[in-house]
Amino acid sequence: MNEALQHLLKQLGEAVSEWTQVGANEVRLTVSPEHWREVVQFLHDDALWQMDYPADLTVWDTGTGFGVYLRLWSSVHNHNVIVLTSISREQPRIASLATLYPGLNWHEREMYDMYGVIFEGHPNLKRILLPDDWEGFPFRKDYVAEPSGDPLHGPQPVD
Amino acid sequence: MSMPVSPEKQSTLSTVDILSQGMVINVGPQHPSTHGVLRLILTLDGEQILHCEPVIGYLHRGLEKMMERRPYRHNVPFTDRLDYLAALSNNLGICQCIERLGGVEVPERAQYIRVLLMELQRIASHLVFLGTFGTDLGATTMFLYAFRERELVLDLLEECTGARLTYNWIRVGGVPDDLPEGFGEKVLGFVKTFRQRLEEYDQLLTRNRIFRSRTQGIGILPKELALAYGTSGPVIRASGMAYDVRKAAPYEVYDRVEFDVPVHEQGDVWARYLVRMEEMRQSIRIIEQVLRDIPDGPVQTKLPKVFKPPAGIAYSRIESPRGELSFMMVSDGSPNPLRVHIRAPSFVNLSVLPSLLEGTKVADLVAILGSIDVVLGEIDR
Repeated sequence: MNEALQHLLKQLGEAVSEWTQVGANEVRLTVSPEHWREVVQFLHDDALWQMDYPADLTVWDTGTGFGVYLRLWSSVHNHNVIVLTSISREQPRIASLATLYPGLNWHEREMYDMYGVIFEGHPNLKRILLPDDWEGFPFRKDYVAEPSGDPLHGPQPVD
Repeated sequence: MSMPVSPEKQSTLSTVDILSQGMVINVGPQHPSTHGVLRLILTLDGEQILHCEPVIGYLHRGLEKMMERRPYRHNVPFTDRLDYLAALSNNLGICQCIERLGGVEVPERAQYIRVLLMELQRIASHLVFLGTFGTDLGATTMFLYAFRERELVLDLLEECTGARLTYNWIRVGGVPDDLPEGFGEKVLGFVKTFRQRLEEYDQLLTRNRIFRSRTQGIGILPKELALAYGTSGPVIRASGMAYDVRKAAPYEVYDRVEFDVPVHEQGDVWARYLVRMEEMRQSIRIIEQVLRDIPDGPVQTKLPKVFKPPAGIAYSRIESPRGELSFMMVSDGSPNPLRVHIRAPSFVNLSVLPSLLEGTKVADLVAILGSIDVVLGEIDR
């Protein structure tokens, strides 16, 4: 793990702003959103990493922006890597990883569904859990989750 | 005015020119073999499936958002409603995540009790798979056999937790109570019976020729695809990848018990069935070792009334009966979590279904879907 980590920092030093090693085989990297795809591609391809298993991807609302969390596992080295980044509220865009890891396809669709984060280059970015005509992104902290009328028969006329 | 058709052309017209390509049919959401409210939009060419698009979300309750509005420990009962066939696994998943976030230690005896319950839960869940999978393929008798034994497990779990389906029995920092008096003997009695019953299942299904021809060589998932899609549990182990969270990242006391991870190379429906059958045998092994080694002592760590973990990100991952179940939490230091994310194994395993179904026959759809063993409660969350 140490050797692999040194190799990564040497190759992609400017993209990784922060890193911590947790235990023997887990590392957490904080990267800038511009280098998101580049770092993950490196972890996927490099012989010392070979992160071939897309374990998890999610987004959270910090109030001022969105955090993005990606967890990868390597079936070859048993490494665990968590890659973190943050994107702005005004421009919630980040490169899609769905072509690199087909398993992230649905995760990215779900995060678009709930947070409205645009994954650029995603082959099929549309809502997955909510109906297609749903308005707004319900997991955002500023979403007003008040029912607007009868859920069975649509909005009721106001008199 | 119609053109005269030559006799040769006329003879071919009837079979060739019938438009059979691209017929769209709808399966579900209310269909007994979809095991919940799952809808599949199939594009068919005759009997062959060209394309499949799963439509999910009929059971979406926004549990992750609801959890943001409640104190950490109030969220445990919600997890019973995720994978309702293995509620205890979900309870453990969220409790482990909160424990990691707050740095809570769990007493040794509680860890052993947790492992014991996890394995009983795995048997109960795999028995539901076995029963419903048999019914899907026309072996209705299997359902009665499997549910007979599941009843025995549920009786045990009821005696311990007080509930039969939504247990809510794992707590942050341990388990709420010690095992009931004489529980170990009862479990051992069940294990003895169950071992013989597994032989009965083998006679009924594993050596059944019709069952074999319905499952062997059907719905093959290659190892590379299984990895790239992030599938887990019996699905990935049936494709030749020995990935089990209990071995890859041992939690509780799984590093102190001996068990094998069943792996099959074929990647077909049959292999997924075999993996689950062998997993039940391994669960028995684990249960026997736990009952032999379980130490005395307290079962719960005392925690403050208002539980405020420090700010940070934590995740937990466990091997639920369906695969890698992972909870991820972000804390900002307040009594409520800022974000809870549930990585549901069924959600990921289902995403591989379109690739599995491409080019197969409609008649095999039910077998392939049944072999993935999805629970819609955790897909839709």
